[in-house]
Amino acid sequence: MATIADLLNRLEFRVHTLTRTPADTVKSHLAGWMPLARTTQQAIALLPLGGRSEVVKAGIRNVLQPLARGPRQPLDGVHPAPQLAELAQIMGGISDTLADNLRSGGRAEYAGAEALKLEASLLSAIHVAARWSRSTMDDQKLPTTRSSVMAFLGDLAVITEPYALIPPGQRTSSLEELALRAPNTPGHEGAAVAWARTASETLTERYRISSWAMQAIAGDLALLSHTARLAVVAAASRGELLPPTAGQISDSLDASARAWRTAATWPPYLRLGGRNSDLRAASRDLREAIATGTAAGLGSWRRVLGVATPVALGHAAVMQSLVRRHELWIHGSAVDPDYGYARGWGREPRWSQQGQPLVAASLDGCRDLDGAVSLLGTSPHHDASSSLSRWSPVHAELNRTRHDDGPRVPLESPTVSPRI
Amino acid sequence: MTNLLPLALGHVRNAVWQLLSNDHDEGLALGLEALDVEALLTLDDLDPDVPTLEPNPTASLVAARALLDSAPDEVPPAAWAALQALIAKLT
Repeated sequence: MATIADLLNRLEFRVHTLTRTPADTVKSHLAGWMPLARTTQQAIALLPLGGRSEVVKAGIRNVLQPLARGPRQPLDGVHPAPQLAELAQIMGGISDTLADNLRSGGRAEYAGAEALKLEASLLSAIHVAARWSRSTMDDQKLPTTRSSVMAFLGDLAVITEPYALIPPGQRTSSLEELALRAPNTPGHEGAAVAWARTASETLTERYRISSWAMQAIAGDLALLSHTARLAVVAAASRGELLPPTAGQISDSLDASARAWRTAATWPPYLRLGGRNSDLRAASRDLREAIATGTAAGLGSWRRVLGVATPVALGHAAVMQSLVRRHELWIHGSAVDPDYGYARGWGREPRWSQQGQPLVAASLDGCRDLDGAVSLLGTSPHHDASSSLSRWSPVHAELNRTRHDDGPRVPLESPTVSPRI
Repeated sequence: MTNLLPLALGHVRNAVWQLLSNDHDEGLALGLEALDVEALLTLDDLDPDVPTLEPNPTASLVAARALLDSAPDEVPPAAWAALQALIAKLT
């Protein structure tokens, strides 16, 4: 599953290998900037920078807007400049990933500094692209259109320059670990996404809620917490996490696993009728993926737990509602015969508190799981499975580019900027 | 439908509770497997009984199997396999 870090690596490699080709005409650049400016606008709009969005993002929106809109005269039959089209495609991938993860607001720790760092990475790449685009148009003749697009790109280059002055190492954001949450992704991440969708659907439809479903969801949350804890311990033993940090995260996950296990342990005399064949299948797939999957890194587990957290919150809310409204069924054998309660299953009497320990466990599990996800997101760690070292893929792809693309100007060093 | 199936289901529910409520690490995975057996045995309109607890989860599952042996035509084949596999893991 490609993370935002992977896409950023690709984006930076592309902007640092931009070269002029015969396809780079004024019109093709105009056509190329339309999707690139549009996808950049979308990505920036999704970032939780803090403050009032319409004010904070007004500057960059104003300079991207005319480029996204394009010229008054339609560009019929004009192909976008291939290199700008490729940048737009990558930026679109980043925008889609942000939309998938932040649509419902995202986590609190993403807001502010982390979002600003990602914004800096995106606009730093846009700065380089804008200056390169201007330089390719310098000697081309197309008076009216050329002058206006040159002005727009000039504005864009000025507005984005402060971001391009920040060294890459100082703008690594925790948002870079986000990835598109697709259920068909191989391994435990895809299985977790599919499970979370089915579990959330189950929890939001009253007729699908049963004691079995509540137990299975809580049990799966316990299993996810337990397995993530093992991954944290393994990462600490490899030196990827500092021992105090690893200890904190491990404690939170251990508490989460215990709480969710308690929430799954319904006494045999309590139940709520119903069957859930689709949840059973999703749950089985998740357990199988965890049991047979290869050891995953901390970034992967953070994403999985991030997907599981809304399910945990949904579980606690449903559990509270069931107990508050006395909707659980209790078996007559568990009630004192003096109360004259009929044998067999019936709704829990108003004075009964049998479901309270399950609610308390579910709420504890939510708190501990949420705490663990926050700690995983904010703790400095080196995850070998993700591409957080921004420049390494550039080296890897650089050689291939030199062999594959003859006409392109070879670069002398991987950090060299395009000739502007 | 005989009244053996609700009793067998009750024993499986007892086993789920016994496995999940112990402190063993493997109890969680085994409890989830027992929960899967419960899902396979929960046919429509079947209210489980609440039998007396057996001394341990294995005994509960063996009691369930003994009851199901008496009514093989009413037991989904998938439930047999899952129940047998779980008992084998526990013994």
